[in-house]
Formats: sequence, C-alpha cells, structure tokens
Amino acid sequence: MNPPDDVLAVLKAAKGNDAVLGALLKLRPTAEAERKSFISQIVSLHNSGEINLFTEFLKLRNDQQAPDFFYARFIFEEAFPKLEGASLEATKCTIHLITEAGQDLVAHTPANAFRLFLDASPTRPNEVLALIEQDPVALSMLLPVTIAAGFARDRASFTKEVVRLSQAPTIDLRRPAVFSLGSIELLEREEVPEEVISALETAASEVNDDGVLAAAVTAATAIFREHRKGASRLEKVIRDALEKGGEWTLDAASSALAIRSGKLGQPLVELLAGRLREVPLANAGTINRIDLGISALLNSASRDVVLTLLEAILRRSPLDKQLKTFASARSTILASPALLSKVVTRWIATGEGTLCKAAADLVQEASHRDPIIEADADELPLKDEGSLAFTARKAVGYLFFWPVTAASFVVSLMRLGAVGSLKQLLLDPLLLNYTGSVQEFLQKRLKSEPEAVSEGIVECIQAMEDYLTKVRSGADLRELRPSEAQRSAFHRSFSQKMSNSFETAQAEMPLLSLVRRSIVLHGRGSVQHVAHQDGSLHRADMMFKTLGAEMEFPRMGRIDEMGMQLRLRRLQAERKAK
Amino acid sequence: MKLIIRQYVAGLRERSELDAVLPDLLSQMGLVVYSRPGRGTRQDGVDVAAVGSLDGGPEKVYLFSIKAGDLSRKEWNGDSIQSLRPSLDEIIDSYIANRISPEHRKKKIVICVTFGGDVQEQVRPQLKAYIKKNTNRKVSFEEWNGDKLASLIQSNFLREDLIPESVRSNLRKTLALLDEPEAAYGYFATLAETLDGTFSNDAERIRAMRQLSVSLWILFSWSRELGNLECAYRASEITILHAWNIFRFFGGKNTKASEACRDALISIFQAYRQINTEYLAKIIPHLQSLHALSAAVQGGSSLDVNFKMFDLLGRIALSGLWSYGAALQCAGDDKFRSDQLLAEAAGTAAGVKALISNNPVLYSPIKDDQATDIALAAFLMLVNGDDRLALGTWLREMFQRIRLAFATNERYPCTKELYSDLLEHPVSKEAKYRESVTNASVLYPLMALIATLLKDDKLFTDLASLQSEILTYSNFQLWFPDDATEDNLYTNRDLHGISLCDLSLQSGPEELLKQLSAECDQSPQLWKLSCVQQGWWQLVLVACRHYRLPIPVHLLKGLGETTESGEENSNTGAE
Repeated sequence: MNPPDDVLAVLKAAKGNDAVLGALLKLRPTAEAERKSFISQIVSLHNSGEINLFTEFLKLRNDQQAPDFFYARFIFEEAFPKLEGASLEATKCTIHLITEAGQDLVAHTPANAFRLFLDASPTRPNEVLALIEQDPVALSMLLPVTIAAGFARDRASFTKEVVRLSQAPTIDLRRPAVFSLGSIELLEREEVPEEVISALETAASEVNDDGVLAAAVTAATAIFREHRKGASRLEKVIRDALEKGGEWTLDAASSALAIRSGKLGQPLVELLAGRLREVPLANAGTINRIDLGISALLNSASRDVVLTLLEAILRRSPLDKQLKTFASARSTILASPALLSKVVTRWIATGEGTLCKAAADLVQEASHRDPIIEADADELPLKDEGSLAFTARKAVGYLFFWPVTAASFVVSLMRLGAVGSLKQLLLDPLLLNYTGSVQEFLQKRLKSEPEAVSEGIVECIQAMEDYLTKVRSGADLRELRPSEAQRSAFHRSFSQKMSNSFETAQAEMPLLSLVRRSIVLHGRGSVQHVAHQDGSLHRADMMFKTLGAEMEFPRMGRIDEMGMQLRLRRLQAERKAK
Repeated sequence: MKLIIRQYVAGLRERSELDAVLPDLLSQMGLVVYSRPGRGTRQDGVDVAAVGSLDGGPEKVYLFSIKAGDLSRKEWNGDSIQSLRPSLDEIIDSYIANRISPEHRKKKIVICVTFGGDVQEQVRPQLKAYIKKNTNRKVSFEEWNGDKLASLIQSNFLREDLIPESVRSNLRKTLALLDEPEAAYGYFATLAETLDGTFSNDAERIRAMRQLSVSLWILFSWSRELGNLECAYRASEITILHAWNIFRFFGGKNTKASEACRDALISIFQAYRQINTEYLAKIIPHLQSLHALSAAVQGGSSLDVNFKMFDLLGRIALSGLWSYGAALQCAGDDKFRSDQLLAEAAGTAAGVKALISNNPVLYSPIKDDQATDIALAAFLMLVNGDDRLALGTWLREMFQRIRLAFATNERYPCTKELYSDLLEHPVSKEAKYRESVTNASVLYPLMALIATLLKDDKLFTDLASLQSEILTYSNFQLWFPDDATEDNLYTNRDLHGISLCDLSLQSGPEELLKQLSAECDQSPQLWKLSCVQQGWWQLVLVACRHYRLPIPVHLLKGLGETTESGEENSNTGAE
C-alpha cells in the first residue's frame, strides 16, 4: 500500500506532466482491500483540493492511447460517489465519460456512479435538474437518472417536475422527461399515479416526435402491470405510440420485449410483436433485442406469438442471415428437444422455403448433439396422406444432409399414416444415399415401431440391399477406374479444400485469437517450465488429445451430383396444393 | 522381347485370333499365302495355306492346321470336329489329293501343326507316332508351337533392324503399365505415330502395317490376361486410324502391295473389333443395373463418373454404328446378315438407353466436347427409330439440368478440358469467369440440331432462350471437314476442318437446318475422305471420338425424316 504522501507526491509530479490519469492507473493496486484504500486516498486528495478528478477525467479520451480509457474510467466510477464538488462539473464529467465510450456495451455505467453521487447529497437532484433545464441539449442525457434519484428523495415534487418537463417545449428536455416517467418506483400494490398516466397519454396522443413516442413506449411498458388499474390506459398509450412511431419507437418496443417480457402479459406482447414484424432488418440492435424477447418468451404462453413474429422477420431476411441474427432464440430452441421438434415441424410443414431453410439451420446445429428429431403431430395442420407426404418431402428436401434427422422425421410421420408413399421416400433418396447411418438408425428402430411402420422399414432395407448387390457387381471393372493422374489431382484438390475450410473455421473461432498457439513437431504431449512470480519454476506437462469428426457423404454426390441437386431442389420447390 | 511375344501367343484364346496373325507372319517371311481362313469354314483341315521358300530352301507348300493354347489330349483327338488329328487326316486324305493347285503339285508339302502354347506331355507320344507314320518323301510335318511362333514374330516384325528401338521400348513400357491405362496408352500412341512415319516404298508401308497389327495383338493379349482392356481399347482406335492413314496411300488401287496392306488392315480391324467386343462384354451385364457402372468408377469425385460415363456412352454408340454401317453395306447382297447386323445395332441402341437411364450423370455434361459422345449416341438412336422418344426425353432432362447448373452456378458445361481444371470448375461466380469458359459451344447447337431432327420445338425454343438469356456472348458453332481433313483426320497431326460460327437459334429450327444444309453443300469434303469413299465411314466417327472432334453435321442432318415403313433415312457416308 502506498502511504498518502507517496500518492500525493506521485500525482503532483504527474500533474506537472499532465499525466495524472496514467499515474493513477500505475498506482492502483490489484488486491481489492488495497484498492479500496487507494480509492479513499484519492477521494481525500480530491476533496481536500490537492487534485481535481473531474478536471482530470474530462481530459480522458477513448483513443486507443495510454492511459487505457475503460480501466481509468473505472477508477473514476469507484471514487465518484464520495467526491465533493460542483454538480455541474460532475454532470459534465459523467456525460463526457459516457459519450466518449461510444457504442460500447458498458458505455453507460458512469450513470450508476452518478446516481450514487446524487444520492449522497439531498440537494444534488434538484441542483442537477435545474442545470439540465438550463442546458437540456448538453445535459438531458442524465435527466432520467436525476429524476430517479429525485423520486427516491421526494416523489411527489419530482413527479410534478417530471410531468411538467414532459410537456416542455424543448424536445431535448421532453424526450428524457417522458422517458423518466417510467422511472417511478412503485410499491407492490401501488397504482400508477394518475398524473403520470395522463402525461404519457398526452405524449402519445399529442406528439409526433419519434423520440418522445419511443420514450412513451419505454415508460409505459416499464410501469405497466397486467390486470391493474390503468393497465388498459397504458396499453392504449403504447398502441398509440406504436401506430405513430418510427424506428426509434420500434427500438423501444424491442427493448420492452427483451427486458420486461415476463411482466407484459400476452395482449401487450401481441401488440408489441405485431408492430415489431415490420422492423427494418438493418437495425441490428433492435433485432438483437427482439431476439432476446423471443428467447425469453419461447417457453411461455406467448410462444405462438413470438414464433409468428420470428417467422415474419425470417420471411423478410436474406437467406444467408436468417437465424444467425437470432442467436438467443436459436439457443433456447436448441436447448429443448420438445421445442426443437415443435419448431422444426411447424416450419417444415409450412413448406415455405424461408422457414424450411431456417428449420434446416436448426437441425444442422442440433444434429451434433442428437440427430433424432421427430415430428410434433400438434404442429401439423393437416394429417391426411397427401399432407403428410408433402411434409415428408419437404423434410427430405431440406434435411437431406442430416440423414438420420431426416429419416427419424419421416419415420415419425409414417406413424401417423401414409406408410406406402413415405417408405419410398425413406428408401430413395435417404437409404440409397446413406447406406450406413440411415440403415443403422432404421435397424435400431425396427423393434420399437408399430407393425405397419416396421414392415415398411424392412422393405426399404431389403430394397437397399438389392440395389447394393447390383451396384457392387461392377466393382471389378478396372477399365472404368480413373487414372492415377486424376486420382492425384483429386486428392490434391480435396486436401486444399479441406485445408482452406479448416483455416476459415479457425478464423471464425474467437477463442483461438485469445490464446497463443505453438507447434509441436514430435511426441504425444508437451512439457513446459512455467515461471512463478517468486522466480521458481513449475513443470507443466500436457498430453495431447485427438479430435476428429466423421461425415458421411451422400452416394449420389459422387454418382450424379447435379441429379441429386436437381432432385433436392424439386423437393424444396414443391408447393402445397391449394 | 521374345518372352513378351511368347506370352502374347499363348494368350490368344480363339483359333481365329491366331488365324488373324499367322497370314501376316507368313507373308512377312516371304511366303505367298494363297488360302486364308474364312468365316466358320475350313478347307479339308487346312486353316491357312502358303507356298514359297524359307531360309533359301526349295519352294514348298505349307499347310497350317491351327489350334489355340496348348495341345491337350482333347485337342488332339477329342469329340470336337476342331480336334487336330481328324484335321490332319483330312489334309492327308482330301486336301493334298484334291485341293492343291496344279502349279504346286510337284512341290513338297509341309503340314504345320500350329498352336499358341505347347504340346502337353501325355499327347507327345501320339503326335510323334502320327508324324512318323505319315511322313514320306512328299509330305513332312513341322511343329509350330508358341515358342516357334514367338521367334518368328520377333525375327520378322520386331527385329532390331526392322523396327526402331524406341518402338520396342514403347511396346515394353505399354505392357509394363497396363494397369495405368492413361500412361500405357501414351506409350502406345507414340509407338503408332512412330510406325506411321515416312516411307520410301510399299514394302516399308506393308511392314509398318504388320508391325502395328502385331503390336496391337500383343497389347490385346496382355491386357486381356491382366483383366484390364482400357489401354487396349484406346490403342485399338489409334492403331486403326494410323493403319488407315498408311493404307490410304494406295488410293483404292488393286495392286499386290495394296492387297497385302489391306490384309494387314483387316487384321488390325479384327483386333479392333475383337477388343471392342470383349470390352463391351464386360460392360453389358451391368447396363441394366441402376448406378452399377457409375459406382464401378470408384473415383473420389463426381467428375470421374462424369468423364467415364460419357466416354463409355461414345464407345457403346460407336460400336452400334459399326454394326449399322456394316448392315447397310451388305443390305443388297445378304439380307439375312444385314438384318442380323441391324438387330445388333438396335440391341446396342437399347444398351445406350439403359446406360443413360441407369447412370443419370449422363444428363449432366460438364465438358463441351462431350457433345461428340452425345452426337454418337444420338446418331445411333436416330437411325434406330424406336429410340427417338428416349432421345428427346434424354435431351430435355439434360437441358433442365444445364439450366439449373447455370442458375446455381454449379458445374455448368464449359470449354475447359483438363481434369484438374474441371475439378475446380466453376472457380468463381463472377460473370467474367463464366464468360471465359462458355464463350464457345458445340454442345448447344448440336442439341438444337437434334431437337430439329426430332421436331421437338419446345426443346429448340428452350435452347434458343438459353442462348438469348444466358449465353448471348457465346459462339455457337458446328464443325465441318475441309481440304486439310483427309491428311490429318486419322493422325490429328495438325489442325483441320472449319467451324461454322455464330449460329443463331433465334430464327427457329427450319432456319438452322437450312443454314447447316447450305454449309454441308459448301463443304463436301466429308464425302471425299478416303475412308468414306471406300465404305469405311465409321472411321470418321472413330477419329472424332478419339481426338475429341465434333461429329460432322453431314452425318446427322439427314436423320430427321422417317419413311412410311418407319425406317429412317440412312446416312451411309457415301453420297
């Protein structure tokens, strides 16, 4: 630990060189107890006037140069609640540190420290509120946190203040004020104050500014409680705002779906989801929040609503993006076999290319864990023979490259009927292309399936064996074999392609960019001597593990590649009979 | 070298195979062969008869009775009429008495017991006793076994002063690499090109022909023994083409030299057809099985299957066209034989259909030069009226796949030919790349021509839209022989022929046919080719298949109409 005099001396010296922040970083201990003491020291130095942290931190830039912006800012956040000084200086410094952080996920954390700073003195919320009102363009960013602090101190007067400001002529003041209406903290059974609802109604009905409408949506959803007095009025506020609002409002709706999905109730979820279908695909942030909302609601009573929302967005998405942008929803679906089966069946049964492709994306990821996915009969709108056969063809067309999944899906449809037409599909293209894995799967299934299905499977396996017997009859035709030169050319090309895809895969693995890689030329393990801080050496040995992946290529990929593609495309392109 | 030849002689399985080589050998030894083996007949036990002097001795009559392989007890005196002893009895009792022409009657007679292998020990005493009993002042016996034949072949065809060392070396390399057909073929092709060099006299020409023949037979025998006829097949094509190139020098004259040359050509042709037949005999059992032939390729890439199946398609179709051509040739003289051959052609056409339906990669050409194989198959299917429907179905499906390939940017037909290039094709989705590999095509105009012949307006219109929508920049063209073709068709030593370029499909099928007919009239050189003039027009097809040239339009364009009896107009190549 550094004695206070040492810290002061270092900082004074650094001040001369305009390097206080760098010195602070150097002085900051890593152990928590020591760090707290260090923070107390610099707070004392600031409060005694030896240094001015606000002035110093106003100089901090997020420009990839030393001192590190976020590490340095963290010192400020730790010290801030105990600092004394002018509210204006503190407010400006907070805004500077927030805006300088840009789009970083933790950009707004100084606001939390600012709230603690406000809470530390009963007069500060009023002082800051006055400052904001004087210069809303520069300072309104901190209005919500100031209002929240004010609510905690004196809810009645701050409610009046925020209602007043929500109708202020300056839009820069009005937006955060309306937003702040949602900051009011209510007790468990407490109803939303009438003046807050009225202010929101005014904002939603009388204003056309997208920012104000977005703030109205955020505030209304924040204080909304289903089945409570005022719920219907708040719902109307949200509906009005969504009707008039633009992208900002949509973003607010997406945030509401993401953050408050559990408290909104199904009607409000439907309301938000209905409007969110139109979200511009370029708004990645909004899409991300919708993804979070969908993910949160997939296992709730609102599942159908959010699935419909997801489907609507997928239909408008480019095929190469699709589910990639819905990482959370995808992960939630994949985590539950029942939900996965439901979603895959639902999407395959539609026959729509976009949704079938999305189902295939899910299967691609799921097949690593458990390749067996059975159709969920509840998700099949029709169960007549024609509809089952249509769904099976779609499943084969889109899930062809995950043959066991496709086969398990088709077999589960066979249980619902249409054994005759589905067994042919099971044979060709599935069994004839994947004589290994699909046959193995079907053999395992034979005993557990109903008699009609088992019989169909036996016929398929027999037909496949007959086919293979004939195919193998030509195996000794040496005249037809490719030349050595062609074989070598193929192997070279194949190795190159494998190597390229390995490199591409490596490039997409963030973990690899965090670790140092080294090449070991011989042996089955490695030993290193690692130095400790005290200079002693520790012998660390590590045995290698072998990793491998097995892949079965469809036979037709080699025998008739274009034919296979054409067939798959025909299966994929088939439309549902009206 | 002798061991190589010895193994070849022992490997000849049929009597007819030895028959084909022996007359050439005897001629080369200086004897005059006056009786050759005919189809299915023997003249009182004699397979080949020759007269002349060997090693400076007096002129004698040599009568050959031929057996393939070893002389076993069964071969010596079994139930078969082909057994040796009854044949020798017939020679002594009947041939010598009745069939030797008056000018040779005073000459001594040598009965040559000829077989590719050896006399088995259990027969040796009987043979010796027979020879002792029947030898007299006039008649003597000689044993021409495999070893003797090998010595004679070596000393008369492949002796150092008769054949360059490089040729012998190439033959040895060919045989050593038979299981690597591509490389082996390369050596044999060099051998054929070397033998078809510059000649200062007819004797050299005749000897070269016989050397080609012997080399091909040796190769065939070895290939069959090894169970891989791939090299032999390709070698037989290049051999017959070079043989014709030598033979055409005689210009259809009827001289002694031209006759000798023709005999050698026939021997080569027999080898060619025999190889063809045996090759197809291995393929045919698998034609009806779905994917059996495609799977037999056992390559790593679909490209391997593609290459092999289109190649096989051309080979099978060509075989059928030989039968068809032969049927037309003997139509006037031997109706029964002609019908037999037409049935054979129809059977081969059925084989082509089966090959296509059971090996669907044939719906997806990847190289533009596969147009040649498609043209051969179409030719055969067009002359066999029953197959026109199947031909239309095939081409329509092919078009669908080509459209898909362009739409998805995957493996559309292109002008690249190298395997390694095609493995990566298409390397890019950019229009610039696509244009660079599809900037010319024979395939689409050929398909359009066939669509016209089939009166398939829908297919023609589809092809026209492919041209106007996707391949606007591509030079659609078809090939016609020109004045340089006669000198280069059989050897491919230089460029020849002309391409009719910028064919437009936009004015409809009639206009295309009109344009092509006009060009056929302008380019009558096809009909002047020596092989066409002398009734060997199928050699044009062999050359086109072998050297990857388009099939001349002349041969196809007349196949559009059918007669009232359902028979097609025939293109015999002899206008």
